[in-house]
Amino acid sequence: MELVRDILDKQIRGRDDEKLGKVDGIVLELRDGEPPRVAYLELGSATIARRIGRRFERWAILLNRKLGVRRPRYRIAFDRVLDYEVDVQVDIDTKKSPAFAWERWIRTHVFRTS
Amino acid sequence: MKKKDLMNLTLGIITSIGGFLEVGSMATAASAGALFGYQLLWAIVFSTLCLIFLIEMSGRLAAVSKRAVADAVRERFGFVFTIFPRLLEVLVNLLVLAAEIGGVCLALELVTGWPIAAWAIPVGIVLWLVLWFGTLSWIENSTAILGLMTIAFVVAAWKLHPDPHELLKGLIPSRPSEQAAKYWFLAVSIAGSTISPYMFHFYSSGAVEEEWDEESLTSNRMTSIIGMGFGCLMSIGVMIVSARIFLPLNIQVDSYEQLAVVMSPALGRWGFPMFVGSLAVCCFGAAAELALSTGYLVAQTFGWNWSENRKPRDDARFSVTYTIVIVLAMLIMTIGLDPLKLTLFSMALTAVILPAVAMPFLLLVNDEHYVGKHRSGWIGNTVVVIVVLVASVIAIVAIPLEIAGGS
Amino acid sequence: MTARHFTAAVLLLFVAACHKDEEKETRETLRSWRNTIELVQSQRERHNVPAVYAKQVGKHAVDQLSKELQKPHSREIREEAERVIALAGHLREAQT
Repeated sequence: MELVRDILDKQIRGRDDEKLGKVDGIVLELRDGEPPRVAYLELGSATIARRIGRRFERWAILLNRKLGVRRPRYRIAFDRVLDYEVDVQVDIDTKKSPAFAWERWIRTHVFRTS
Repeated sequence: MKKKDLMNLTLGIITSIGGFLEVGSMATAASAGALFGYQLLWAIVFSTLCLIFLIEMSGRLAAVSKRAVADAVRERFGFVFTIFPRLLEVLVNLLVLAAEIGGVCLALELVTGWPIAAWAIPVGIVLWLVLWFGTLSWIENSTAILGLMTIAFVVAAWKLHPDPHELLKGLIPSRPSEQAAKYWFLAVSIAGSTISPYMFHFYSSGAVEEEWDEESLTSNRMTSIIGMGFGCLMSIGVMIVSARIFLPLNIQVDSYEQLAVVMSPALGRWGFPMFVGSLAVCCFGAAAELALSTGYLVAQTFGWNWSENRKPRDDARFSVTYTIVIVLAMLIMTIGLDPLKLTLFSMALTAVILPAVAMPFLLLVNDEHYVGKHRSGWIGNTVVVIVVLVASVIAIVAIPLEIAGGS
Repeated sequence: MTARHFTAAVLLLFVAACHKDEEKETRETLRSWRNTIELVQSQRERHNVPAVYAKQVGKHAVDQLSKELQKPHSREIREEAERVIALAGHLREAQT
């Protein structure tokens, strides 16, 4: 597996095949005497912003706080990844995931559905 | 022809109608005909050839990789490479969308006398309703059928008996005897209005929505050629009619009020309604394409649900995105800006971002990971390299030319 | 001739050249609008275009050319502009 090629910036789909977002970041766990391990996939505006620069990350976090968003970044444990051939399939219920928060908010407040 | 191939063809025709003939390209082709006769025919044909290759590639990418262009670009090149061209594309799309809504309003103004600003909100609302409640195939089919009205330009051109030798001469680039800045500005505008990035996003997203696969590759090729060829023919029709009517009378096309009479000498009482109808349908088709294209662009960049065939609540962020873009575009038109000036300005900006959009294509359609064994041949690659080079030159000269030669 | 005289002469020539270009452009614009008005008028007489459109052309021509008249022009151009505006005015009053 090539992390940047096969995982980073790829589409993530949940158990129900709904789109959860893109892999905005990858979190590695450093272990003593062993090679690093891919621990999490990371999503969120703060993660994307960090890739442009630290200042953008700070602005993203500030904006999220003002909008009342509790989690500007969200992690999915790598052992929940089922497949990454075309998209990254994860064993998560998309509709209940915090990464789906904005979609849920618009459905509830704009469309008045759950 | 199988039913699926026919459906694919309608995607090609609407992409062409919405991309080729719209408020800017109609005026540009007419202006070119009025000032230079057929001397800029080569610009339309050259731009069409480039577009055919690029559209075919975007369809091929979608069919084989199951990813639309924006999706694939983010995945392959990363977020940082993607975000700045995307922001510019969204801005340009917004301006062009405003101009296209303005084009529909112009058509309504020509018929009713009520000003553009008065029509902006009703037209925007109708556009939104069509996208909100319609499906992609319904939008494609209705626009494609209505867009056949533009054949009137070709009929008018044929009735005016253009000299075939002069037409053939126009296929070869030539140096104008005067107004060189204007000549090259129009050449650049024709290229800029023809090779528009929003068309690739719309076409490739439509291909994904319609679940194209490797078996669709032949119809993709046919669709690109026939669809874009259709638009090219209509554009040439506009140029010929303008050259036959306006050039001998030394009429410069500075406004749509001057342009609207162009088909009347050839088509009599049908001329004016055909012109107005064509303008309205083409601009509406372009507006629909732009709004959806912007939604696709943003949704695919951030990995949201997106589909025109789903209910809006099922891809809420995508639906809200195109809604916001339509509202902003509507508001821009209520200020009373001239849609023609707006689109000419936007075309110069499009030319500036084109290299950043075309370059990833070259790499993606040669990447086995995305297109498997269906990589581009040397002809296709050469065309994209030419487009990138020409686009880079255009990017540098577009704005100075607009100042020197534009209206 | 001093450098100052030379610069002044070059600037004067430049302004004269620009003014000549502007005059030429204005003449072309006037000719374009005159011919547009005559074309629309002839199509109107054949009932090929509606009165509402003819009025818009007339109004647009009057607006554009009135803006042109606000710039400094030779007497010949001003008189031609006024003639074209008068023609446009007739079109603007087109009856249904």
